[in-house]
Formats: sequence, structure tokens, C-alpha cells
Amino acid sequence: MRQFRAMNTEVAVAAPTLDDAAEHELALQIASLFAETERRFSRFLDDSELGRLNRATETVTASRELIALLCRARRHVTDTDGLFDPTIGAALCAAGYDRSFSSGALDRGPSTTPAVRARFADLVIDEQARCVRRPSHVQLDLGGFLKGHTVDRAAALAPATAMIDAGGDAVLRGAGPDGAGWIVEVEDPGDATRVLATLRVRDRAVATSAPNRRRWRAGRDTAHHLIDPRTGLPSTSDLAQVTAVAPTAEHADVLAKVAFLLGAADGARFLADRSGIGGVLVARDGALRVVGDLEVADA
Amino acid sequence: MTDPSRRRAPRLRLGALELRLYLVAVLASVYVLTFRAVGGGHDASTSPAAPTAPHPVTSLPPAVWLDQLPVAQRPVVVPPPGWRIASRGEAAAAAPAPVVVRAPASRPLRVRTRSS
Repeated sequence: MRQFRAMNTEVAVAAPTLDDAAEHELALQIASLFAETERRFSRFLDDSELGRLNRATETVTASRELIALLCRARRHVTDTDGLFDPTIGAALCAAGYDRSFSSGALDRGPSTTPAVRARFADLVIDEQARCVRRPSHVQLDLGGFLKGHTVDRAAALAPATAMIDAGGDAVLRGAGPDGAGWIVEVEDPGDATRVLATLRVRDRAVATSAPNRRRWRAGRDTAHHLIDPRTGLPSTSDLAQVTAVAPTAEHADVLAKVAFLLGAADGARFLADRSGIGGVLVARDGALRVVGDLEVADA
Repeated sequence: MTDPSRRRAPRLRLGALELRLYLVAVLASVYVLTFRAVGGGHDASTSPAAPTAPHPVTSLPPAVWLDQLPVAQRPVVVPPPGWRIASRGEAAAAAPAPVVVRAPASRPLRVRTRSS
């Protein structure tokens, strides 16, 4: 197994069927893919394409890759009735998440910036002309969606049995080293040393949303990165964490986020109603609920 | 004792004609050196001995960017590990790839999923 750091997280690459040198080569390719994707689409880099779009005051010509990403995002926005919405960038900044996260770096006094509400539909995308027009109140943040998408692209480079794990957003190809499915441990959001459930996953992806890590002080309050597009504010969900299992990491990331915003009852229904999707929901009171298409080894 | 008159350098006596010839020679030398330095020597019309190589551009076949070719006609280009094919017009400076290391042996071959 190899590892490297990218997108402000630890990325692990394992391909048990490859020899040591080949696995290293694979990890190098994937590391390059992550670095390049971050360079182009991070909202924290001024010279990234996304950074330039977020500053543009007129219609801009976008790369094919950015147009493709925006079109993919638009499909998720439609599928989730707008609960997934990457135009929350300004709301994130208003809440205090205005630079790359590190523990304590975002702590500040009470927020005086009013909540910002934007909708993806405010963005004008011309696919044919590859042009994007961004109203001034719209700031894009591709965040976890981009990370999931990158994990999926990385997995496409890997052999039939492989694991690409970007800080818990992972694609698990094949049936794992012992043929019984890759082991996925769902961490306790209240105690990182504990595992709440163990899943067996094969040829699917997993992603988790929780406000327990990317959080910061805003005066006497605590803010976090899971913005509810309906309010433009950090979510007040009754959930502490949602893990989603889906065909792709991009999809799993979107589903986990949306289920979290919906809360325990609606979030569980949202995941259970979808074919081929599974979920592990952890309520704030610690109650655990497993829904949908999942093989639970231990819970 | 040495006679001081013997130590005096012999005087150069130039006539007006000799002086003019001398000046013309100096000016001519300066002109030739300057002309070469400025680049007149590269001009084929004034330098018949210059090599007359064929113009290289006209001898090359037409050139296209890879993305101008139909997809079916694009050659498969496999860059070395750690490299990628850039988009046309993209700045050449690529992001430095992260350092890849072997994971600690204690790390199990499993995923710990969490928010990150």
C-alpha cells in the first residue's frame, strides 16, 4: 500500500495483485492526478480555473473538464432537488470557511457576514460554447464532490482488485484481498478511536459526511462545513454522521451529504429508496441505523 | 656619461599625404569591423559565400494539434509515470506531484470511513 497527501487529506492506494514496483507506479500516477485536479479546481488557489471563475465579473470560457464537472454537478442538483448544491461557496466563506482547513486556523469572533443563499440555477452554463456566467453572489465550491470524482478517476487507472481511499472517500474494486469484500470500518463521530460498524464492500464506493472534523469557532458558537443550501447556514441536522455506499465515490459523497442535511428520518428514507445504495446513519444521540443495500459484517 | 641628445626618441616625420592615407586606412578598418559586428555579414545578398540552406519550414508536412484530429485518428500517447498530456494552451507549469511513500506496515488493508 502506498500513500500521499493531496486535497488536504491522506490518500492511500492499494493494489494487492500488483507487484511492489507496479503498485508504486500506480500510486505515482494517481498522486499526479490528484495534484493536477486540485491545482485546477480548488477554490483556495487563486490561479486555479475555479478560482478565476469565482472572481470573474463577465462570462468566461471554461475548459472542457470544468464544463463536464459542472454538468455532472447539475445532474446531482436536479436529482436531489437542490439539496446538493456546489454554489454554496459564498455561504461557506460567510460562515468562516474562507481558506484551506486546518485545526484552529478558521477560529474567529462571531460572524457578522449575513448568510448567502445561491442556487445552481443562477449559474449560466453554455455547454456548446463552453462559457459560464456567474452572478456575483454565486461562488462555487466543488469540495467533496470533486474529491469523490477524483477518486473515481483514480480507480479507473487501477486493476480489478484495488482500493483508493482519500480520507474515507473510497472506491473498492473487486472483492478485496481475501475475496470476501473489502473491509470498511465506520468511525464513531464522537470518538475517532472507536468503530461503530464494519461493512464488507465489493465493486462499490463509500463516502461519509459529518461536521465533527471541519469545524471551527465563531465567537461562542461552533460552525462547520456542511452548509444547508435552503438556509445558506451550517446545517442543524439531528444527525452526527452519514456514510453512503454507492456505485461511485462522487455519487456516495453527494448522497451522504444530502442524507445528512435531510436529518435522521428523511435521510434514512432518501437512501433506502434508492436502488443499489446503502447507508449508515448515526444520530446525535448515538443511535445507529443501517439502511438499503449493505453487507454489514459487524455493528 | 651619456649624451642626453642620444636618448631622445627619433621623431616621426609624416607628410600630409602619408597622414591622409593613414587616416583612410584606420577609418576603413573601423567600418569593416563595425559592418561585421552589426550583422551585415549575415545578409546573403552581400555575402555570396554564405551557405544557402533550404528553408526548413516549407519542407515539413502540415502540423496539427492532437485534439484537432478526429478521435479515431489520434495516436495513443502514453506519457511516462508522473507525467500527463497537457491541454492545448495550458500553462506548462504543472503542479508538483505529492510525495508517494510506502504506508506503514501497521496500517491494515481496509478503509476507515469518516468525514475528511
